[in-house]
Order: sequence, then structure tokens, then C-alpha cells
Amino acid sequence: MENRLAELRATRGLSQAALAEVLGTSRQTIISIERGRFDPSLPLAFKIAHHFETTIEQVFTPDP
Amino acid sequence: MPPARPRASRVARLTALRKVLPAIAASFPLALAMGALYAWRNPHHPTSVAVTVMAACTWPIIAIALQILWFERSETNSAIESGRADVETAWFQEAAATAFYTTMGGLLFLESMGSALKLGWLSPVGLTHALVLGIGSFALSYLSLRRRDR
Repeated sequence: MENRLAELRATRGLSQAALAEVLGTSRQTIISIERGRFDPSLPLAFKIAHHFETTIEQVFTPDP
Repeated sequence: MPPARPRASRVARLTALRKVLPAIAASFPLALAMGALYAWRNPHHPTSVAVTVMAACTWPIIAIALQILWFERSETNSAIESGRADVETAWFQEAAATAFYTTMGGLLFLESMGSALKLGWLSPVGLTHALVLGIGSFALSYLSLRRRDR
């Protein structure tokens, strides 16, 4: 799955560690999501979308 | 004279103690039962010593197990749920699955090779073989997953 997490995070000026803390997960999880190596669980995907005040579809898109 | 501890920390400690008291109390008869069982199966030891030592050794373990599995079950469940959101949990699960299949396959392979080549240290397979294969493959798999994602 592709995602815009790094881009959204950059627009807010958040570090990976700060975002991880806000979302209640680990920094490594954020790194892995941004690199597309880890697909987050649905609750975490909702948390991410909610944090950036957008929808899951705006953050994550399935691989073509 | 040492400085007086803050009242808040004493209250926190008392609260924590109150939380574990049911588990401590409930585990005591179980620990005594373990002691009695040990004394029954080992009649060459003095009964009172066997019961006391076995009960004392198993009491903390049973208390912790009861606390985690029974009295704090909801907290444990929520901790498991929150852990599912982490990539580390995904690594752990993948490494555990790899270790399981490696251990099963590895034990069959070792047993077959040991029997065919008549190697006593390979066949029959025992706990040591299972532990080495299981822990080794788990550790290698977890570390390689971690390295791949960094």
C-alpha cells in the first residue's frame, strides 16, 4: 500500500518520534509505514487519518 | 536522618500493593498445594521442609501469573491490542511463525540424519535440539526482519 504519511508529517513539521508519541506507537512503526514496508492496522490507520484531519483514503492508496 | 518520602509516592505504592493483594492471597493455597504435591512425590525429603521450600519458590510465580492472566486480564488484553499497531509486533509474529516451521522441519531433518548416519548426538532429538532450533531461528529471523526494515 502506498501512503502520504511522510508528506503529511512534513507539512506539520513533525518528527517521526513526535508523531509516534502522538499516535501511541513506536518510531520504527512510523519509519516502516513511510517506507511502505508495513501496512498499519485499521485502528492505527484511523488514528493517522484523524490526526491529520483527513480520511484514510487520502492517506493510504492500494498498490496499482 | 533521611528525608521523608513524598506522601504521593506512598499512596501510589499502597494503591499498587492493594491491586496485587488478591493475586497474592489467591496464589498462597495454590503454592501450598504445589508444596504438598512435591512432598508427596519426594518422600525422601522432610515433609515440612519440602512443602515450605516448594511453596516459597512457586508462590511469587503463581501470584504473578494470576495477576497477569486473571486479575489484570482486561489490561493485558488492551496491551495486546495496542501492541498490534506496532511493526515490532509484526516482526515478532513473523519470526515466531518462521521459528515454528523451522523447528518442526529441523527436528525431522535432524532425526532422519541422526538415524541414517547413526549419530548419537543428533538422534533421538531432545529438548536441547528443539530449544537451539527454536530460539536460534526466532532470533535470526527477528534480527533479519529488523535489519531489513531499518
